[in-house]
Amino acid sequence: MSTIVTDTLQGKTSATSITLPTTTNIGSTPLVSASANSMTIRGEGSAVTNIQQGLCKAWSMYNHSTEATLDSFNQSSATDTSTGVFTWATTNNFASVNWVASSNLHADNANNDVSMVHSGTRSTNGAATDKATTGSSWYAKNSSNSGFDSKLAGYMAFGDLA
Amino acid sequence: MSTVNATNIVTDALVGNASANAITVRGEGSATTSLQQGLAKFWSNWDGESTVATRDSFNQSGLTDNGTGDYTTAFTNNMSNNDYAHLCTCDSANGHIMEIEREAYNTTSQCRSYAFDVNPSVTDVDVAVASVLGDLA
Repeated sequence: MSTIVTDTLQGKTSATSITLPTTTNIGSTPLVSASANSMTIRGEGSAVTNIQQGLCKAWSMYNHSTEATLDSFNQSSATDTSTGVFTWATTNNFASVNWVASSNLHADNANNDVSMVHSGTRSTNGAATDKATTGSSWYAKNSSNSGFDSKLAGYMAFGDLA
Repeated sequence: MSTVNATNIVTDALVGNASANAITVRGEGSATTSLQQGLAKFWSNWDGESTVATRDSFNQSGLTDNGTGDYTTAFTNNMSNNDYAHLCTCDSANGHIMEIEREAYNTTSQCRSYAFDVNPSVTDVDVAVASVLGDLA
């Protein structure tokens, strides 16, 4: 392979236009914008949106009954804390505690399950911790406001990475 | 590692170089995150009452009304396994909530969402929403 060492490439027919082959290898290239932390992408219409802000930063599907993570992204661990409560930790942390998340359970008629919430919003759950830059605890509860271990406890989190 | 400095990249598709399925994006700080893993692979908003109909969706090939409060949404491009994060919600009228139907009903080609009220009794809901994050096939 020959090497061209130059500071500037200039088109012959048009000084400002150079045609490259259909496949041009430029190495393993992560997408890094000029400002490093902000890249935009044109959306479905004419507006543009922010790639970093629109990406989900962590998600998981956890079987609390067997204490097994079925699949996940940016989750380093999920730990059973108590009945209905499990704590998950991030691989790459958030910049602040102001990230947002939603959660879901599978419909469990035997338990009359209602919802899964950040356990930090409850003060009676012993070792459960408040939402942190490193993750949080989730609390699955039933219609009697008691915890239970769901077979499918899923969450997704959006926000700013550190 | 090479670096491309550009204000605008005009393209119709992005494919990873070292690995076709992995593109890294630097986040809001110094950490990096995965472009593929962070993308929603499916989402849908549908009317779940008498005339069940999709209002808007992405990667959805079909919507099936299985009965009261019981809906199946099928994918156009399938997932690689059924361990994806399936999240669903609905309007709050009469204490409605929406959850994942029993685990066996989520497959690589569809997911099933189930709505009920505070009693709890299954119920049709006006606004039903579901999304999926996970690995495409």
